[in-house]
Amino acid sequence: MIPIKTYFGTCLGDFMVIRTITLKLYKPSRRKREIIDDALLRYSMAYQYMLDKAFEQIEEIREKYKEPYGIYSSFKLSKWMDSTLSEELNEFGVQPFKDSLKIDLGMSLAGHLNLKRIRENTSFPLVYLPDDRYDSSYDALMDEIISEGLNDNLKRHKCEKELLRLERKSASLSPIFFCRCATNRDYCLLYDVINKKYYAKLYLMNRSDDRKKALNPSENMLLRYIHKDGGMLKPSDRKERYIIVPLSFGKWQEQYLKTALVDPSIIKTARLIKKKDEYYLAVNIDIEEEKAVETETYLGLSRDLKALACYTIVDSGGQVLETNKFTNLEVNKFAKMKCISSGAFPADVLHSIANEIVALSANNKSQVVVQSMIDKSDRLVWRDEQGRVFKPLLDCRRYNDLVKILEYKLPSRGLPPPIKVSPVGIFYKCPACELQAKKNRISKDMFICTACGQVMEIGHLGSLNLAKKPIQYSKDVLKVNVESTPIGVRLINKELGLDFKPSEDINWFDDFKKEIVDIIENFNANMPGVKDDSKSFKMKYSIIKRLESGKDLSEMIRLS
Amino acid sequence: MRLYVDVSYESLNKYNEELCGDTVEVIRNGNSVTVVLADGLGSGVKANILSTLTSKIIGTMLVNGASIDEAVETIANTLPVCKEREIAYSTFSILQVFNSGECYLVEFDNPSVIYLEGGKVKYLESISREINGKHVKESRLQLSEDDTFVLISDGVVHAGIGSTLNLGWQWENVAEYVERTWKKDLSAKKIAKLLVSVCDNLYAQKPGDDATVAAVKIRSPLKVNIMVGPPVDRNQDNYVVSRFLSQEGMKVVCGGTTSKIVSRETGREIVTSFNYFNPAVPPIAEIDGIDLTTEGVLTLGKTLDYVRRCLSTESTIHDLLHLKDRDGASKLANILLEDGTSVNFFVGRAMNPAHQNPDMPLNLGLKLKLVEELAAYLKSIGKEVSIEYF
Repeated sequence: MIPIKTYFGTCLGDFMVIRTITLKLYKPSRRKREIIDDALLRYSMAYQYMLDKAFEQIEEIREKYKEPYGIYSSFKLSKWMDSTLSEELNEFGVQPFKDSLKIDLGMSLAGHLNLKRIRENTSFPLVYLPDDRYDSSYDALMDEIISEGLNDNLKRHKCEKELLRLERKSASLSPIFFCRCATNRDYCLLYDVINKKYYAKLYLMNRSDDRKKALNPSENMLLRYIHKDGGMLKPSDRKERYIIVPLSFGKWQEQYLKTALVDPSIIKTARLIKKKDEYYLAVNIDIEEEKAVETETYLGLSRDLKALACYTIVDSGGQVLETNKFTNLEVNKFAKMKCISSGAFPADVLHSIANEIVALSANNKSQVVVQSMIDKSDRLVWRDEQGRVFKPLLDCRRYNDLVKILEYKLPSRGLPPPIKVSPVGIFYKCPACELQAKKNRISKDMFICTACGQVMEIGHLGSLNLAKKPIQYSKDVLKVNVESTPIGVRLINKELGLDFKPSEDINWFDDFKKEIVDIIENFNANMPGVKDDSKSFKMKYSIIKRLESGKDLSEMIRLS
Repeated sequence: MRLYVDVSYESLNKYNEELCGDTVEVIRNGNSVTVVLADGLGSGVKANILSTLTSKIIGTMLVNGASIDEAVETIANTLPVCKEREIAYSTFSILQVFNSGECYLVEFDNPSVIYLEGGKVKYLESISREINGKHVKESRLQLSEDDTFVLISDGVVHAGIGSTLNLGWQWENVAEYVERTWKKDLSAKKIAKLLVSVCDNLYAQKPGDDATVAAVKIRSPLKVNIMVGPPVDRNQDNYVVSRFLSQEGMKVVCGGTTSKIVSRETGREIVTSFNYFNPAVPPIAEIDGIDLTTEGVLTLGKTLDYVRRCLSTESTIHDLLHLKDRDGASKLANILLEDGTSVNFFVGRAMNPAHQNPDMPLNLGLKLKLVEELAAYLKSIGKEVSIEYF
């Protein structure tokens, strides 16, 4: 049961850090199991019913709920479920879950429509597949395969994927989402003050449900709500719509529950999940953001051919403080068995690397720098003279997965999220003389600079170059083009709006610096009241702020 | 066509040793250039004595017309015997390049000399024979421009053993790297510095053995003419400029007044260049037909700093790489150290009014001293230097 953390917000200052702890429902009785199974089935059917309805009107929804920048918000889309549709859901007996279904639907539609903006062939969400529908979908797919064949790989891959999806959906029910923690609806956690045990109170039945019964906790129990309103669960003879189930968990989860006893407001939403005949309650907890750390060093994290990843920490001057590789025997075994490429990569390995990176960054006050592996390659793959190809242990997708994990784990320790930089040349550029050349890499593992003789192992080189990139960026602040024009030489930087004609005087550079200072002062004087969101304004603003932060203007100007 | 033999060598001492067990001897005379690389048995003082004696004896004898047989016999009878091993031992490589372009190469127990023809490694055909119980390899060949030899001691091929490279930087790897980095304008100094830098890095800055590289590059001679300062007699301006411009090779003008004189006498315009700015060095200018035009004393002073730094024993390959910077002093130092094979200074001795200011620590004497110091450094690396005063 690995705790998962999620971030909500638009920038670091606004983040609400959510950690999910998963608690097991401890040996529910047959009656309770039947109630839970029934609720899960009803929830799944109702959810799928709404999705089917939405699918019929998807184009209309797509147009109507589009936000100004073309994105879709789950909050707005949840409003698509009107009172008529809400009435129709009564057929499934999901009255206790209507608010949750509304939110779940909004999230599914928003996810689908936002993804469709990037990838047009995105499948429409499917949360539950009843047997009859599975049979008809399976038959339809088989008919398509028989009639059209599986001649090309793309088609074969697509069919395999669709078959797997059908299998998966037919065998599982959608988790029930509890959109609030409340004492009189949805769900709530309880604490037995006498026995020091925890319970879940789950509202799963309708008012009309025959299985309702009066719940009177034994005299040896004293159940207190873990809720901001506080109070005790009072015995009553009334037939209740909820069930109470004891919880089991590990020490990790217990520390959060203990915190919740002191501050119950940290408990947020939850999901009831069934996995292999066991039931779990995944509870979202709002954990406090750690105090922001001011970074002093840089930690570059690169891919590697022999290890999962390699890191190098440098100080603000680019001097190496520490360098090492992440080797994991379990994963290396997987790599040898070629399981990694077939998808059997153990996911917790990425989390353990991320945890180590976070710890290293915290100890060294490091800003983590990673490769931006979206549209450019780091060219780490090596083909030797015999034609053998050596690939990085982490492919692009898994490296990006690792980065995604770091994006939420680093801020949880008060560290800034990783900076993504271009990976171009990181395994070919000399960190000493900055010569970037293909011939600098003499073998799979070895780099010897052809200009200055610097020797490095490839993995360390990549991570070092990554770590040094932000330092390099901050040095090259203002690139000024020297242009020869009919009226003489001119020094030009279009972003800054600089167009300077140097004099023949030996002190021309002083005049040049004064011209730049004038531009900065003029910009700052006109700043109040400027509402410019254009790219050029942002660029100019960025250059000016960096120039202002520098100590010596002469050092920050590069004539070319 | 007469060829210039560019020779340079660099050594890396074994970690914690003050003396290097490898010695290189370069002897230039009117007829030939002889390069001897000797590697003494062991390390430290003992090895240094062995290799110094070997290189000196062989170099001197060959230059004076003795045969290799005589030289080897002399070594065998002269070298002190090691008490531990009871042998007198020093491996060596000898390269003798004659003005005619003929080349004689002798190798004994050192890693084979790397030879590049047109930038490509070529394996030399050699004859093996026994002299005084030693198996010696001899090769003879006719050289042409751009031919390059790299003489190495065994510390080079052992670099990185057991640490960065399992089997060390093997001869084939070294040869491949030399071929990979070879460029027409790459000087012998850069080749030697570069290879020693790689060795140092492979040894992780703790060399397990003395490592030495001697690079020899055959190139066509290039004369560099530098005019510094205006002549004392203004009536000589035209004469000096005409004489300066009539010289073959590259032309450099140093000094604001001097460049104005050149501009006036030739009728060519001076254009200040803004292509590069380094606050420590005054900007350069351009005059048609002049390869480099710089400010005077400040630039010369900085140039001398760069030359001194590059030729010091502590210099690194990065010092040489900085000569590719685009300021006037780096450009001038690069021309003097890398491009030119001989240098003619045309030094004007007129007093610069700007230098009469008592607050300015510059005077005529300083300018002349700078030129003389530069000349001494250039001579020390085998360049022909002449100074004419006006």
